[in-house]
Amino acid sequence: MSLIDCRSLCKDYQRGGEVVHVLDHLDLSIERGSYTALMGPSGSGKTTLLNLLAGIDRASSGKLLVDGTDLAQLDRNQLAGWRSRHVGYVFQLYNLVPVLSAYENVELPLLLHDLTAAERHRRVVEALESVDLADRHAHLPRQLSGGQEQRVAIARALVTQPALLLADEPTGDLDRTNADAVMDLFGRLHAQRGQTIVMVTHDDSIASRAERTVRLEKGRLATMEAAR
Amino acid sequence: MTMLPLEYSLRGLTRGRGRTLLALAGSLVAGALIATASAFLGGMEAALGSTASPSRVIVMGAGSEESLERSEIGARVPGILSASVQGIRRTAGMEHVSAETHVALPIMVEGAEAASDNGLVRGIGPAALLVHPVVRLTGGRWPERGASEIIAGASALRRLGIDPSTALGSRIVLAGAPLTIVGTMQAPGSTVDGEWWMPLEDITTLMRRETISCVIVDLDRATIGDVQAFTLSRLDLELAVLAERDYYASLLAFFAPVRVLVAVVATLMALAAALGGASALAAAFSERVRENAVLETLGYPRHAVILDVLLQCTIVAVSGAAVGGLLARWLFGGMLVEFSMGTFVLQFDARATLLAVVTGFIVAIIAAFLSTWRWIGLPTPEALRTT
Repeated sequence: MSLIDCRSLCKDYQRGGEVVHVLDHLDLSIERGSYTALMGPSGSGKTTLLNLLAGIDRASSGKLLVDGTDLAQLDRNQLAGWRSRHVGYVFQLYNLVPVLSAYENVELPLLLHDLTAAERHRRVVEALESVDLADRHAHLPRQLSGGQEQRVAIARALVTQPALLLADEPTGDLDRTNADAVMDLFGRLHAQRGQTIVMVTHDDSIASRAERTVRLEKGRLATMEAAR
Repeated sequence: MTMLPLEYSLRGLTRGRGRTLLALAGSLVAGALIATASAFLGGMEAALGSTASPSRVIVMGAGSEESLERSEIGARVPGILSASVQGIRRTAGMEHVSAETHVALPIMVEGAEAASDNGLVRGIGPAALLVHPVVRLTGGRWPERGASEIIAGASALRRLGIDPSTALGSRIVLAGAPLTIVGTMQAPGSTVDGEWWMPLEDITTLMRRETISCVIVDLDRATIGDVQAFTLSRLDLELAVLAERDYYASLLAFFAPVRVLVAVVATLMALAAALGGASALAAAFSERVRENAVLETLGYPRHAVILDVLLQCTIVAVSGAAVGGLLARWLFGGMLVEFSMGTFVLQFDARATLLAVVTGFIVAIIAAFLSTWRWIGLPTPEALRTT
């Protein structure tokens, strides 16, 4: 069953007097519980696709259904609300709030949900444990290594138990050891929880951790391969 | 409504402390300026407003309605007026009819002639306290006729550098004549507090004049129409009558340009300080374009992020402006301001504090607008890419 269904999806930008077709009638389905790597050269439209899936950008035309919701029908605030319930987003540069501790950063998206303080606490503790940072609750981002920061960001993305985890080059700013640790974590989440993951990467070895790799070229689907 | 926790907002202010302090300082200066301007205008309005009473009228020389100091009427007018108008208020057999002379004269402490000041001197008779009930003799006694004696309001004494509590017995020189202060009076918030009072006959002699300035009459059953009928029936006396309230209202209108100037200058200076504070805040917050976009990506609606920024700006700007208002009150509260009608005290009341706080809130709104407009104008993917 498809969690994501793109039909003839287009995204155009105006650059000067020229129209750039970043996504050009893209058709793509992503199954619930799958683990997909999005690859392609710079400008191929992979980050744009990820942003469209997250509802932080809007398609110029075409149809995009995520978990049964037609995102084109939602306004900006409705999209924010929808995102808080359905999507976890992991950024390349972590984007933790610098004045909040690891615990508070993870708790941030939960504050949008109607939960008791005890339930919130349980979920934050669980999320931090799942990324092996149970002993770093009180640490501020500046007191953490890059890998630890990214794991806090992943805990933040997972804490709302979203249907879809989106990651934009999650290892792009990490050394090999930390990148492997993050990829191990993604693999574990997918294997143990059946988490649907869509991840943008430039790195073939990172992409090989996914179940399948979708390659985009000039805004179109070039190839779709199962993992080796 | 979805909001970020207040504690997080407060912690957000600890970032860029230099800019936060700069914003605090700008708001403080703006709040202090606005509160001081309000205290100035409020003090002037209160002084002129509390001096007037709805039941009192002033009979003065025709054509001198704008200034009692220019008015001259015959010394026999009070007697003729008493006999002609029925229904004047009476206490213990004495009619509330006060013959007065108002003059502005150079005044100085004896032995310190270099430090002269202009004081408003009122020549009064026994009925003066009946028509000026706001005045209280707080020390000493009433001045005796022909004894070179004078009494003074607390503000008048302070302006001349004399402590009201030790003023009795002090000697001053008025228009070259040495006088002894035998009494002190208070009329809080009234122009009378800044005046010098001496017997009518003594000021008449000192000024070598045969006329008085005006008659102040407190009406009981009589109306201003009755007094007007009197002045019209005695055209030979060349009199005009004004309700005391109208006279002081016209004075307030006369000072309108000064008040407008004070308000405009203070507002412009406050605006400069406010914009300085607002731009410091905006600079601190505009670095958070990506953070705002991250919050939006996490699911926070835009209005929640904007409200958070506004809340942080409000905490800084309103607290700065309120402290500015209180600081101005501490520095300038009770300060006397001289004007041609005497003196008034800067009035740091609830309005001054409220205006300081409102100024802070305006700074906060400007800062929040400047802080968020760049983020609002950017699509979220672009905002996420900003550094």
